[in-house]
Amino acid sequence: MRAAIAAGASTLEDLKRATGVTMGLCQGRTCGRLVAAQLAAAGACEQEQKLPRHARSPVRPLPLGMLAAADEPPETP
Amino acid sequence: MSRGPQVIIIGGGVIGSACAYFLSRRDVPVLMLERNTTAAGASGACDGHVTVQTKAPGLHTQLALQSLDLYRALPDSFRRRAELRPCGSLLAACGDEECRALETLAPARQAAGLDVRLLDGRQARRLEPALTPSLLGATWCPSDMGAHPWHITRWFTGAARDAGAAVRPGVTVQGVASEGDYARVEFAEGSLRAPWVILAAGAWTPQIRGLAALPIRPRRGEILVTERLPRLLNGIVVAASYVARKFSAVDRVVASPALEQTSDGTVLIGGTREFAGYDRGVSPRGLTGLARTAVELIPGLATANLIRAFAGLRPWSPDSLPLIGRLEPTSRVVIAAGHEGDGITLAPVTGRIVADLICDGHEPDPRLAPGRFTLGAQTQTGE
Repeated sequence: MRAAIAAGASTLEDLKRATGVTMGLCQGRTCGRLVAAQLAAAGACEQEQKLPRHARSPVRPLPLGMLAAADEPPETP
Repeated sequence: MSRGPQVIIIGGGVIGSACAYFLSRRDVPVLMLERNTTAAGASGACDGHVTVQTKAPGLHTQLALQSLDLYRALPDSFRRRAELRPCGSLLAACGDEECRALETLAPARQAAGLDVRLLDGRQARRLEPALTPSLLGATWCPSDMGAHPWHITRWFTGAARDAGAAVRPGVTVQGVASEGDYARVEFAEGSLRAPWVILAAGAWTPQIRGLAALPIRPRRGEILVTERLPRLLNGIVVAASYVARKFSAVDRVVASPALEQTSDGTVLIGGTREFAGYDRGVSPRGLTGLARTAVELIPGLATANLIRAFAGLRPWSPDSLPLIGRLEPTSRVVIAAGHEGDGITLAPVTGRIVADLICDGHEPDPRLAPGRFTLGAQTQTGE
C-alpha cells in the first residue's frame, strides 16, 4: 500500500484499484479508517475526504443459497 | 512535449488507455484526460472475461478474435501484471431449447474461426465438476481467457506513460468541437486543442455538450463477489441464456449468470442487464436473481458467503457494436465508445483501429461508424 501511495495513489479509489484494499471480509469497515489515515499522513488532505462514501448491501456476509431463496421483491412499475 | 499533444483522449477506462497505448507505441504524443481516476467507470466495475464465445456472430466475433490475438502479443509484463490466463470458457445449457441453440450455432461459430467444441453434460462436468448434474450440454472454447480488469487498464495506462503519454486525472471535459485541422476540448479550467480528440468516455460520452444525440445508453450490470473459496471453477462459465439476454433490449432487470473464480479464490457472479439511467446502486431484485441463477448452475455456491456486490454502467448501443470512427466524415473528433459488455475483450482491437486511423489514415470499418444509425433508417425507408 505504501508503494502504491509512493507511486501516486492519492484517494481510496486509487488504492483500492492498486492493492485491493477494502474489498475483503470487512469491506472497509475496519481497515477504511486505517487506510485513510495512511493517505492523510502521506498527503495534505483532510482524513474525512478520503473515506468511502457509501455502504452497499450486503451489509454483512450471507450465504448465496439464503439470498437465492429470498422472496423476489415485486418489480417496480 | 514541447509541441503539445497530437492526440487528446477523453476517458481513462480500458478503451481510452488502450488507445493511448497503441498510439504511444507509434511515438504519437498523447494526453489522457479523465474526470475521476483510472478505471473509475465500467472498466472498474466489471468482470475479467476476455472471451469470443459471448460475442454476436459476424463483425463482433471477428473483432473479438483479432483482439484476443493482440492481447496474446502484448509483452510478458502484461501477462504477469494483468494475470492473463488461458482458462477457456464454457457456455452452459440447462434447458432443451438452449441446448438446441448451441447445437445449431456451433458449426457456424467454427466456420467463423472459433475453436468451439460441442459437449454433452457429462463431458462438460469433466471440465467443470461444479456444474449442476442437470446440465444438458455446453460449448467449450479453450482459447478464451480471463484477466484482472483493473490491472488491464492500469497496465495500458502505465505502458502508455512509459512511452511518453501524459495522464491528467480529475479533469471533466464539458465540450468538444472540430475546428478544421484541429479539435478543441473544453473544461472548467480552460480549453486545449490538438490535431485529434478521441472520445472514450463510455456511457458518459453523451453527457459531453453537443453529443446528447449519440445513441449510447447506460445499461447497468450488477456483480456479486463471494468470500475466498477453495478451487471451485477452472475457467469461465456462462449460462447460455446470458448471451440471448445480452443482445435483447428488454427494459426490465434480467439476471443470467456469468462466473469466474479469480486468482485469490473469490468467485465473481455477473450480470444483470437493466436500463436504470446513471444509477450505480445495486437492487434486491438483481442480487436475488443472480444468486438464484448462479446456485442453479453451480450448486456448490449455495453455502458460499456473498461479501459484496457492485454495479457498473455498460455503454449500450442499439446494434450491440461499438461506435468507432470520426463523428462526421472530416471531423477531427473520433469516437471509441459503446462497447456494452465487451470493453475488456475489445479494448486492444479498438486501440489498434484508432491508431491505424490517426497514424495511417486508415478509416475504420463503416459498420462501426457513429453515423450508421441515422443512415440505416434512411436506407430502410428507401430514400
